[in-house]
Amino acid sequence: MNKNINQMISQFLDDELDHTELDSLLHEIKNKPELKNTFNRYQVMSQALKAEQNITINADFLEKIKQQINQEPHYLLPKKVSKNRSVNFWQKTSLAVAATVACVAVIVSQQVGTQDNNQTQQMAAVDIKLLEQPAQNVEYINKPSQHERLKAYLQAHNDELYTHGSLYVHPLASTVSYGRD
Amino acid sequence: MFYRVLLIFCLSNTVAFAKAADVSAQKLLENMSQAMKQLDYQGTVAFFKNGRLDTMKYFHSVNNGQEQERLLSLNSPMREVIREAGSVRCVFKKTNEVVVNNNPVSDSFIVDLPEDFATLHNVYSFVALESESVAMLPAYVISIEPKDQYRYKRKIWINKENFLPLKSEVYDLSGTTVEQVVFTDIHVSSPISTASSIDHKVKNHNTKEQVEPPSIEQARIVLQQLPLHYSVVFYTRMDERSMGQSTGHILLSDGFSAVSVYIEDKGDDTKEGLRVLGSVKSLTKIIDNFQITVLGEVPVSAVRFIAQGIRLK
Repeated sequence: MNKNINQMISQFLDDELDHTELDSLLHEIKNKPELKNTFNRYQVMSQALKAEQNITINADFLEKIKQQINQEPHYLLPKKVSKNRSVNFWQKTSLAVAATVACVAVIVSQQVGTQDNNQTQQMAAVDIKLLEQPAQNVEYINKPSQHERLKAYLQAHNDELYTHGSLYVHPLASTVSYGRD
Repeated sequence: MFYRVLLIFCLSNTVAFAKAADVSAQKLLENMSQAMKQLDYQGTVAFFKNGRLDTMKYFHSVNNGQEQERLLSLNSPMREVIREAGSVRCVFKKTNEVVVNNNPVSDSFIVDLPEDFATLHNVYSFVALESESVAMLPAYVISIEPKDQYRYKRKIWINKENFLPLKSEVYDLSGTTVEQVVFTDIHVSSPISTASSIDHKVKNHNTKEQVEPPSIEQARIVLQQLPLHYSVVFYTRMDERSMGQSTGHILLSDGFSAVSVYIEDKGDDTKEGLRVLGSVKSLTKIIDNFQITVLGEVPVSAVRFIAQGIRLK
């Protein structure tokens, strides 16, 4: 039942419901407030996917941050003699912690920025390449991913390769799927 | 040549009859189906699908009873596509490669039509609408309206002079146009040169060399329920080079709408669920170690209904 409701919500977001089904769905949502959360979640997912933005973080993300921190130079500066000797130990410690946190935040934000940009560009390049060449000429060493298989299915199913010169597939965008609850 | 003149004469006579009120929309569709198969004609066609527009030169010819359709792109990627003797070859001019599909899903680049319109009356209504003009040519407008939720509505504009299709549109359940094919110019001609550049290196598409397709009995699944008037068109195995493993492909059609069912071993990343890929709906389900994907330009209810009836043998 839950699966059906989820599917109906997905269909609703794709304008696939007829009036009867729509009435039924709205009635369900009205009676079960928790379904509203599901509806909102699906809507956000749909919008995010249709926005064609895809940000993924590598599994070794944390490891790379660690390496970056390790590669930071160590500055051995002469110790300044503080004029204000009244600053106590705890103030010094809190300042040091704050500086460290700020440093890490800057490094992390730089890392995320450069990595994501590179990755997005790389993904786009791969997709264009795949679309420009006939998919059947690609020899896969490993089994293709589900997305690649879907593209092959689509190519076998319709004439878009001929009429448009490539296959219309938004990479992961405009794809709405539901999980099994 | 004599038969073509005779055909045009017969079609012209039919025009006179078409003016009479009792000519049914079905008869007009049947005339169109005949004209599409038997006349030599050419023109410029715009294909609009999923928000993309492409324009191509189109040629249709009949030689010794054998039809040939040819498309020439006007924009990059430059390509020539030929449908002949049940297969489609696509030449990409830049790479000089040819893609061959021995099991094309469609029978025509312009519009897919059933063999027998009369059998479809319990799933479609054929309604003649008010005449319109397409490319400055007067046209009959036929609305093909589904009677259930398993297919999309479409409209076809038929040239009043020679019954050739001038335009076709497919609409989703909300009435949005998901596909449009329209001639910007069209004329019936004398036999067209069928010379083409198809002598390049050939790479097969989704099937092996011309071999007899396997029987549906060899499929690993059984389709226990299909929407009314959907039937199996063919079963084939797709090229393992593109899929990484043997994949079965069953094509179903009601004459206008087509649905494909793909069967292969379950992948590590396989996820069940419904996906919307432009105007195409797909539903993947896992049964034991197999993943089955039902896919087509049909409403979600159609792919879901078909998927629900799939069982392993």
